[in-house]
Amino acid sequence: MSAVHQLLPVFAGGDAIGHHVLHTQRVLRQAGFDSEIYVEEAHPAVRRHARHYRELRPEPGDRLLYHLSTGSPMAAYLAEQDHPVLVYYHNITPASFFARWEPVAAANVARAREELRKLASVTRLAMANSEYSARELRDEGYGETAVVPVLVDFADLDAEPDAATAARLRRAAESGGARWLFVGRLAPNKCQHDVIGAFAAYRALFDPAARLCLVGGQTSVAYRRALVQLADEVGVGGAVELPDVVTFPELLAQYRAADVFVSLSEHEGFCVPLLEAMHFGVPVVARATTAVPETVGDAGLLLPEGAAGKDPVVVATAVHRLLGDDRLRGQLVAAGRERVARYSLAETGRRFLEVLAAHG
Amino acid sequence: MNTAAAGPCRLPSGAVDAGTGPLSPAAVVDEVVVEARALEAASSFPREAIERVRAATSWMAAEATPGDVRQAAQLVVHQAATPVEPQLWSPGPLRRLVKQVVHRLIGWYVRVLAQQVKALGEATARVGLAVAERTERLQAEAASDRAAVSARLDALGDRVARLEAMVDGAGGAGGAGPAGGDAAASGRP
Repeated sequence: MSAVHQLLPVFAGGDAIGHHVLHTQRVLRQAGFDSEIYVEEAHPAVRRHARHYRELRPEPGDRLLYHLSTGSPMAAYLAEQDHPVLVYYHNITPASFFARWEPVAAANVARAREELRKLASVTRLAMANSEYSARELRDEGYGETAVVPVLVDFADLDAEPDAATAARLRRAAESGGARWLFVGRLAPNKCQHDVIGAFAAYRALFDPAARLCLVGGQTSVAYRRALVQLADEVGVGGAVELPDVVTFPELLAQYRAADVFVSLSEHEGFCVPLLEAMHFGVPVVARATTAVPETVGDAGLLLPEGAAGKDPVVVATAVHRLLGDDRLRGQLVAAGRERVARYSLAETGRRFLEVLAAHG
Repeated sequence: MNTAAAGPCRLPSGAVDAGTGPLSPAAVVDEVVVEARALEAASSFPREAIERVRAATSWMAAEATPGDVRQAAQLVVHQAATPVEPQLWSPGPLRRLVKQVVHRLIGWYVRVLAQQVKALGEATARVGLAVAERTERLQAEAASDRAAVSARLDALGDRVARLEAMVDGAGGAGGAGPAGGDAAASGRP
């Protein structure tokens, strides 16, 4: 059987794209394909799984599956190949989100969008993580498109959480107060500043002992610093945790200790953490922007996309309602578990192979 | 699970549906928006604190407002505030220790540099704001001048029209006078 090799610019071990690529390789190999991973850069933890893309020597009939989310010289390299190119579009954050904070990142994503446009003419099949992303592909001139959700193995989340973190969070819980959680890179498009604002309103209106944890590596140093300043300015500095780097067991402990997952992101191509929260039975309050409504479905409180959806009082009231209404919370948690089952690795892996076979 | 502690504000009683059927999340959100408005209307609402939150988060709005000089100046101040207490956490204890030692060794010097960078940032922002204020004042003055000139032109136009009407009236009544003759010679209507 021919090979389907994957290419991606940056292979980081712990992020959604890195996991997706490893799961895709497993699914492909189980289906009998040869499949290797070729990268421009790899994190030391996953370097053994990948080779540099200049070492790629495809055989006739091999397909090249490119994971597109950022700018890279790999796009130009792929455009010159004679082999069929497939694209998996993880979505590109619009440059306007970074222009104020990280001009270099803004230039990179602007370049990525140009590359997305250029690859349209040489791509045989473009897969997207959501219908929202698929629409963007069609707008950029891609002919054959299909939605294949991100491959996530939720069984990984059942591993043991970090004991020390779990004990610390248990002790913190003893003093009362709801625990808010958001997981995602500290980036302007994720709008952690709105989460901090809503959290400050929640403490002022309903629960002075509440705590917030924003888990995620920083994309912009300036934005992170502004978040710390903001938390101090609105008087919740001591109640907001911003752990830059967490290990996977520490992340599990955070999910297990959370009472509510609050996402006020303005731009998401899919947002895996929403499903992770649902897996842990953590109810979700999210702003209905971009791909978020597709991912959440009826398993969360979807706040309006407009200004009301990020108003601190509206968000705080939504969280208060959710935590004070057992029936609503139970219903959303049950719906969340059903939703996670729909995105199980077995389901999404099968969907990926079906799309691959149908578009040969 | 934690239970939300009693806070200073309470939702209106009856906001939580006592039925047993499945709830519509969309309908709950509609109720939440109404509840939030009701909260804001209450006399116990901590208006000052919430307005402070709104003001603090709005300037961080995800997308920049094109041409907003004040927003740009505020960003210069934020960017110039160099953190001197970085995250010292690392997965390994040795790395953590190295970071702490390096931090201790060079901390005094970094603090001096950070203060200078911060001062430079604030000075730059002040220059930007001063230029913006001056530009705004000049624009306001120019707009005012334009309005005055326009009003004066309108008044002159009216005066010319009045004079022409007078001349036309005089011509019709008693033949071409000196003014009427001039108007006809100049080809004016």
